[in-house]
Amino acid sequence: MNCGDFADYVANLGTFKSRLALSIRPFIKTERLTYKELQERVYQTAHFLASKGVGSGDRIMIIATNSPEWMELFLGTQLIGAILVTVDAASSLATVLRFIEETQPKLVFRSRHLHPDLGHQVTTYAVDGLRALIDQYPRTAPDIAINGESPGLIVFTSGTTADPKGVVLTQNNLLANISGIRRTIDISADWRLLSVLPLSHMYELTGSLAVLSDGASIYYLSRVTPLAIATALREYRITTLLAIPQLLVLLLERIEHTVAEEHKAWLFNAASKIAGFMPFPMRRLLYGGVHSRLGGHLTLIVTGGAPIPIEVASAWENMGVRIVQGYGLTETSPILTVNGLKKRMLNSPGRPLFNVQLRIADNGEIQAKGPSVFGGYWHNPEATEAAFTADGWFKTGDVGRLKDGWLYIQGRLKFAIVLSSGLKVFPEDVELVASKNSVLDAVCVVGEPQADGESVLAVVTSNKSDEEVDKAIAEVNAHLESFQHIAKWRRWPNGDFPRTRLLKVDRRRVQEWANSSVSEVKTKTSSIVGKRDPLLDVIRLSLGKPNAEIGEADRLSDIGLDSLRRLTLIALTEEYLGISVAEQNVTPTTTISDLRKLLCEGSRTEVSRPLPTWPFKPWVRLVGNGLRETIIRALLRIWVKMDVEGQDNLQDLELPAIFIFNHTDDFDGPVIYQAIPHPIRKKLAVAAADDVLHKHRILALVIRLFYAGFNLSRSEPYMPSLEYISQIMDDGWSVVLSPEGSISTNGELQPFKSGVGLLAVELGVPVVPIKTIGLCGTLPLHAKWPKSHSHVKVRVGQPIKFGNDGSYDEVTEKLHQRMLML
Amino acid sequence: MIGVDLVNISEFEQQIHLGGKAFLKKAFATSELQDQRVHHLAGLWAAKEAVIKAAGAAPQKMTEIIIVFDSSGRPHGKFGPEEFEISIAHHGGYAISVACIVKE
Repeated sequence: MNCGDFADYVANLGTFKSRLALSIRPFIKTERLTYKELQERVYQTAHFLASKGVGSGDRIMIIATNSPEWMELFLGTQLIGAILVTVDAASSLATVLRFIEETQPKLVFRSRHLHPDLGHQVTTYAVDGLRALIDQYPRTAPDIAINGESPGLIVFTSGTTADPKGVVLTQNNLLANISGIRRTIDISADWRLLSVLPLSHMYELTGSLAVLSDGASIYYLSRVTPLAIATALREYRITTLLAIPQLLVLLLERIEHTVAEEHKAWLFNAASKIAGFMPFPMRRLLYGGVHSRLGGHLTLIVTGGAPIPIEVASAWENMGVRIVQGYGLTETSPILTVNGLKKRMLNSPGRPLFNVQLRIADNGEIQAKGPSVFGGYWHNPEATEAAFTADGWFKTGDVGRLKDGWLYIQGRLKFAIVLSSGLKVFPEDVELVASKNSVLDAVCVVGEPQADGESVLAVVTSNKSDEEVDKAIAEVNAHLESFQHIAKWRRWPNGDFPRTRLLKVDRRRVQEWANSSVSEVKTKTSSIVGKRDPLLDVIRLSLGKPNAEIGEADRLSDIGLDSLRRLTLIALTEEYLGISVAEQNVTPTTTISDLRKLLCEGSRTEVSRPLPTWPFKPWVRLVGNGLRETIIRALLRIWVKMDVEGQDNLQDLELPAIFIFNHTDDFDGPVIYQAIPHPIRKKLAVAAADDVLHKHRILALVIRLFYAGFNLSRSEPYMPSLEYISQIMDDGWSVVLSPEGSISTNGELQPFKSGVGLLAVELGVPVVPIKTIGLCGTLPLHAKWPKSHSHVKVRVGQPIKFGNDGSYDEVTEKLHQRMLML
Repeated sequence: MIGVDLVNISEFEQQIHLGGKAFLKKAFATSELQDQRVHHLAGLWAAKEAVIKAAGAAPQKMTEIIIVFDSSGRPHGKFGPEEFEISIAHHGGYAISVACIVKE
């Protein structure tokens, strides 16, 4: 694929036809878009936008969390030659209004829950309503001439306090970058990427576009929380992640924490010693426990945005996950350099892409040139001029060196501390050494102006005493060159450092604070990830006030938590802190310190145990099915004479389907199975009671092997099971389950659990009732061998499909009736 | 006894977005989550709060209060052994509900 324009790009999407392109799960049902569907939606979006009067060069703004619609809007905008202005979903209203003023968009698309009052100033649409909006428009390419040289994207860098500059990128800029990335990294159509970083940042956007140009699949999360990420990695069997170093550090800590909890630390440490010598597939085997928690398929993590500590990168590599680092800026679309899959260095962000030229200036600054380097800032000629050298090279503002083609970065030019001696100290170097000290939580090194230069000032966050920090600083200095020594240190007064959206410390603000005499500081961004007080962070999150002052004796009602917000708080402590607290204990008069006690006593949130996926592997099924068709069938013939009626009802059955049956006997599973025609049997999974599978391990193995069995919880919180069912059905598996939940002791049909109604309505698949008559007594509940040779009648009913407007309870009731009447 | 409650729909929407599935499962029973339009859920929440006020007692969990709609679309509340007549309305970005205990 050469860099034409996005019309070519979108046309190319169609070649992947029915491969999965994008997926998101808002509640239970997963929305899956194939490439063909994505292409059609993009065309429809383009027609829709054009019909609203959006033309070449017009701006459309989007302020939304990641979703398939985001991508559809981006590509649709390109197809009509318009410009998409991307705004981070976490932006304040003031920021958004400012960007609207600067770019004068014709339309604004937003996530439903963001900035509802925006509609007064400008025409606004909800992003999740896009499907309905584009519905009647044609699914074919619009007949609009576009030019690859024209701008397609405006992304603002920096927050509101510094002057945000709108980076203007053309279609060619992006396509050239994608082309460069694909030359260095071999993207496979089998990749399953989890989208965690916001699409409003170039890193995620270009990464996604590159992956989509090769037919791989991207999974979105409707909410990005630690729990959601952990669950998604497992459920979607993610192979690839685009991450920032902070996320990798966090995940690693979580893994190490879990290992310690399970008292496997010694095993983990032993493994780390030998892993380095082993080939990658063996490493993954060695760390099997870790990998199954990560989904079992995670083999590649691309990281950028900030340098990654070598120990962290090595730890991941040791576990068999490749770490590929890259470097670039928004202004360069963004990738300038990246490691390859095979040729990787852990201490370098890689080599320049084939179409990127890099040079190092006299002052050490890295400068770049090439088709993916931007042309200028939006309506800001002075900033644009300042960004380039006289001979047209872009000034990155980073200092580094090139060795044998590999780039090594030392630090940011403007934050380099120039001593009176003329020597330069890079804060990054000092911070790297300081990060190894456990007394200091986080360190930000800035220059303190002196008479004839600057001196090295360390701003620290730590919950230790001043004396201990003094000692720590001395310790750090012992590991630095003499000119790098920290001359003075100060304590950051307010929780964690202010951080940028991608969680880098906002150095500029720390510097401002350090250089002014004002000691009070307002932190704009509250980092959930910071090592400060997670409970207060969660409370601030639930209040929507990142700066709220909260005292230990404050009652929840005092700080503004009404009954609604208290419930949200409980949900958040489950998701972010992993602790479940009982609702009735959280009242208006509960104080913060009471809450802390509750958290200590609270129970760990039940993280869905990773359900085994091996029963669904093709070769397992081959063996299992083979054994079942021969051995089990033979056994069945001996003990049971089956008389099956109604199989022709299944002739036109749309698969996958749910088969429900009446549970009268332990042995009825195999009987039902045999009653279902062979073509369907090949991809048929059986739901077995959770508690039974856990108690009888051997039986569980048999059920899984022969019948592709999976756990179904019998008690009320069976949502995880339902989501699991939804997922395997997405993969095309039909499911057999017994809605009664337990064996009927007297042979009569018991009431159905409501989950079956939910599944029928939400998944929209046909349900087939199957009734066995006369099976009761062959293998009663606790006997080991079948008792008598029985004659069993099996009636297969008519498949019934329910619309998605039925009530779950009504549907459950209808199915019950159907079964009774069979 | 009667009870009433008023809910700001967009604030409610924020809570749903913040608390996600965990929040929804704590606030509503599965049958109540059939219709997930925000204004509808906001109305259900208002109804539950109204029931609490009418009952004069708080539940241990919000899911102890169930709101069901009969075939004509009329809502009824159930909290423990007691039944409640309910009325819900939406307007101007707010959902409001009134609950009245049904005495034999």
